[in-house]
Amino acid sequence: MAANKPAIIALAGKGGVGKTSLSALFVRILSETYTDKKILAIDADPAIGLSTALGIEIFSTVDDIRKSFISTVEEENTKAAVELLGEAKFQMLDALIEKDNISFLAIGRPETAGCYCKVNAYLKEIISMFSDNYDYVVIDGEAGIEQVNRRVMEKVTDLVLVSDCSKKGIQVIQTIHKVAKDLVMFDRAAAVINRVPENLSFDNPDLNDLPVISLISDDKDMLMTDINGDNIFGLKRESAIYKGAREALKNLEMI
Amino acid sequence: MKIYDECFLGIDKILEEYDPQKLDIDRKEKWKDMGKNQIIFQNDMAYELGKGTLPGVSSIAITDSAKFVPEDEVLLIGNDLPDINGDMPFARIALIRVNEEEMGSGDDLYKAIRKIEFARYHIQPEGYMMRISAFTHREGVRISKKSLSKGLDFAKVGRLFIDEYKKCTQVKAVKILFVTDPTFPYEKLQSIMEKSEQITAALDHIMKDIKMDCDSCNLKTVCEEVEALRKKDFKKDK
Repeated sequence: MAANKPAIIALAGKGGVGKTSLSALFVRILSETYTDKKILAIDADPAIGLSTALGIEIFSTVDDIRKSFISTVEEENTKAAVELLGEAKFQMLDALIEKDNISFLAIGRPETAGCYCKVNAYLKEIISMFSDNYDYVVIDGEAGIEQVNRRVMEKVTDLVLVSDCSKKGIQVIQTIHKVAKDLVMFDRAAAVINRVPENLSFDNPDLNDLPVISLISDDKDMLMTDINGDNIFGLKRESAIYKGAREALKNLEMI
Repeated sequence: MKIYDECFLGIDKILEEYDPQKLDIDRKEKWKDMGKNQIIFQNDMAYELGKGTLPGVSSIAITDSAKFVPEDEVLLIGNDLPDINGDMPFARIALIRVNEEEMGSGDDLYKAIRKIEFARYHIQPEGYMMRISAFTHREGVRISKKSLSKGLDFAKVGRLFIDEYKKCTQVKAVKILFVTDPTFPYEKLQSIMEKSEQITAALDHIMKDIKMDCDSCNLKTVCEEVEALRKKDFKKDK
């Protein structure tokens, strides 16, 4: 069990920029570097791609639990708060997949109609309680960081904003950064620019006060991994994205 | 307070066949209560009691009779924690003796019963992680390898449960029954204790005087039984 509070790294950015690959690499590198430490990978992207990237098969998501909660509570009247928290812990342990020093939790698809803030609060409470038992938590978020805040965790320690070289991608991470600053949800934020085409000079993207902790060139090895549907543990250590992910973690002083 | 007597009689009948072992709870030093939610991961776990499709029965019944609960005691049917090698079926039943005068009546009585029930959520014996589902009435336990090597057993866990239940001032004595014997009739026990759950739920219905169509309510039969007993037990009620 972690003695101190965990480092919680959340990755966000426009769709298709490589957030999931980088999240998976962060998990791999941390687990390889610290074999005696525990790492929790949380897939907060409704597409649930992180499980595939890590080679993990999932059976249920937090959203499945949320739905069963709501239907049971609606059918059987109310339960006391302490019982609901116990129930959330009971079911969440079934959804948590453990593999060596890595655990995995999928959040699932966003809720449909209706507001169930109390249920979300119970589930978030348990995620937070679980997280306290880990040394590192890596969250693969969807584009809007506010979804992470609402459905996964109130606060993260490190917000890593991922973009490609496109103006749209850069604008998205600037917007996410601004929204996150307004909501005060992180200790520090940084950017990773992925898929930089060869021969393109992209040394100083204008990101205001957002430091760039890694520039990663377009990686054919990663492309082949994706095409073959292989997991991230088979990716060569010499590949550009592996080296770039290491550089990002070094700059965050995580390794 | 006789509303749960049927449950006590049912349990006594089962216990007659199984001759439970009475554990020594006085000589044991107090086991550590983690005081907050602990997680025991699969890698750190020796085994899980009441896991998955295995029986995982838990319930509570309350009485004011010293005949059913004469003193604090922890009983065990089956192997103790250090002697278990893999996942096993499990039951934990708490039989509580209270001072009827201190339980109150009406809604106060219901709240007092629920407060005693919720005691299980407030203890976390080190290395003994309860997985409680109020929806499915299941209670399983993950046991950590590390705590087993430090001497975790049911006597120590039972002592913590007794102390926690007795934080409710109405509680005068507690009998905790742990079961891990695979041949034990868990379904029969479950069915007896489901009645206890229904009695508490019915008590809530009656005490709140809920206006509803009783003919369509699945608690109707239990309500009628409880109402009859309640009239005997609590003459002052509205």
